[in-house]
Amino acid sequence: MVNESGWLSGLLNMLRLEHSRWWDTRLWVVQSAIWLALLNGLHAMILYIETLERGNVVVNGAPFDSVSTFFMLMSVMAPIGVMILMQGSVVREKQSGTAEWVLSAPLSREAFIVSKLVANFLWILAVLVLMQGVAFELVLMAFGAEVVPVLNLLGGLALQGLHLLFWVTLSLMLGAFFDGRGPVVGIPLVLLTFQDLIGALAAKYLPWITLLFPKRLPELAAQVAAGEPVYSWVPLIAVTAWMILFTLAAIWRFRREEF
Amino acid sequence: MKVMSRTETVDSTLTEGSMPLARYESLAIHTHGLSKAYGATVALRGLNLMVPRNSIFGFLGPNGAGKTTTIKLLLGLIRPTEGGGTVFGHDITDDNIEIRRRVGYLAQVPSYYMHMTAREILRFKSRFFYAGPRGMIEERVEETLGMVELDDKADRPIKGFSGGERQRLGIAQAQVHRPDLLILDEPAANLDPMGRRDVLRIMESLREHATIFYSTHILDDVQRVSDAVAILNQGRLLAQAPIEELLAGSGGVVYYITIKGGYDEAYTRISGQEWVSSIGVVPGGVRTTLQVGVTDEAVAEDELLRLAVCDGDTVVTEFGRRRFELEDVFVDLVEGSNNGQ
Repeated sequence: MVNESGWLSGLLNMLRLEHSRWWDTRLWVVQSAIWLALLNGLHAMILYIETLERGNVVVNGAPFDSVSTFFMLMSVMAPIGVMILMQGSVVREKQSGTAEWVLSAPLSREAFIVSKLVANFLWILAVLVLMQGVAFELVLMAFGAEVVPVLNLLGGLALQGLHLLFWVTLSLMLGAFFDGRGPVVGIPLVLLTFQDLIGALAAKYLPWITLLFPKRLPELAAQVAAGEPVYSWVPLIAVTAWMILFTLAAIWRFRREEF
Repeated sequence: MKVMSRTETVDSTLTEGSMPLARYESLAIHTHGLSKAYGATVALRGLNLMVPRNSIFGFLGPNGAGKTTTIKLLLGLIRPTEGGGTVFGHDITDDNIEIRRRVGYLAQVPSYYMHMTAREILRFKSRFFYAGPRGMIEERVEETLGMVELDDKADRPIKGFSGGERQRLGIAQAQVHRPDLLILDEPAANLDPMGRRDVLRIMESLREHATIFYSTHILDDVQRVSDAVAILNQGRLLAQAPIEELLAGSGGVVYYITIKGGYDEAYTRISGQEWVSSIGVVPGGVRTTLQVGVTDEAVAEDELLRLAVCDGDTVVTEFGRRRFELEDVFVDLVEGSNNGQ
């Protein structure tokens, strides 16, 4: 018999299910192809144009800063991918009745949310971050540029991973609060698009406030990957606090959900 | 179990204080004053339900009576606004994971993960209950697929399943872990007669091992397979009793006599007897049926037919004791309740 109890009840089985959504349906293959094309394909294209114009490419300095470009592309595009991947994670199950079905088994509501968080984040980390990081180095090699030191790159990718985890937890929380996909995609998209504007307006009154915004974390990630000194660790602490808050809010709301 | 008067409601008749502890322990489900409201809309009002272990218990009511609400409350899918209940002694609000370890549930509109096959669905469901060994889980899955006759479709995606096949899969996933209690919400709804027959056959085959609590509005099915029933209307419990007691009714024993031709003399002779409590006439063209309520069943059995034919002219074509159909009881109770009786 299964030994899990309390909030762990059913967690392992749900983790297996969430993993199977990526593995059995070949979702990981499709997503890998999409993100390799979008991130590394674009990066390779830029490098190709640079090479044509200047004859060579150098990392971490003139004439072209590959690290900043790649991390900037990832910080803008990958969150949109996360929003698309996560939009139906909770809402789809509420709408289709599968949430009711699995919750009629000995599955805790906490385990339902945690399984979606953990399994999806690990796959997103693997496909949208780590795989892209490896491809990034391969692209640099292919263009004869010097590769980024592995530890620097891993540090930068870890912070990029945390940045995406912010969007994963935000999407999960919105999925727990809303019954339709509109707000689950729309709210993060508005935040991603307008955080600069919102930050600029808010900074007039609270100059430090932009450090609390998620966009600061990819900037930190690029600095770490480039081996530059980090200007502040506050964005890391802030984003971690946001993620904890979103996760707790998602669990709090989902525990009150009626099916 | 108490048989309710045909028009009496039972909301306050089953009090906890009146029931000994051993009786509680013999119950699979026990609710006390269980209520659920959605804003101003009251879906369930003070439900006192007692479902004996190892029974097939039919939970009847028209659409919107509160059957599904009750089921969801028992499973912890929604929370009561008042009152509470237990399933095998576990509280439905605080201890519902323990309840779900012992329960199998088929929803009114079952939903599954469409990318899975029937075998994968059963395997997935089993793993909420069994950690292994893998071979035993597979064996159990195979056995369950065989029981619902889905073994030949086990590895097909469930997207292409017919309504009947999905319903059989629903029953299979509900009982793959051999639960002590099966809760089935309208298990035979939307099925053709063959599908219904299959579902009822499966239910009967499970009665040895489990209590089956199922909601339905198909009264023929209930009469065929149930041991006990409860009738619900507009969120109120109107009656709960073993089915035989409910069918016997509380209006006394009634005989019917179908007479060809004139019936006046027979009517006069019968209505003059002390032991006849009521007599109704159901005209039917050439034949007329007298429905005779009696207070003494033994005397009626000896005398009634003789009284009808003793003049030598009256021709009786049918005679017997009227058995109430569940439909009669149901309609009587629900209409009485709707009329505020």
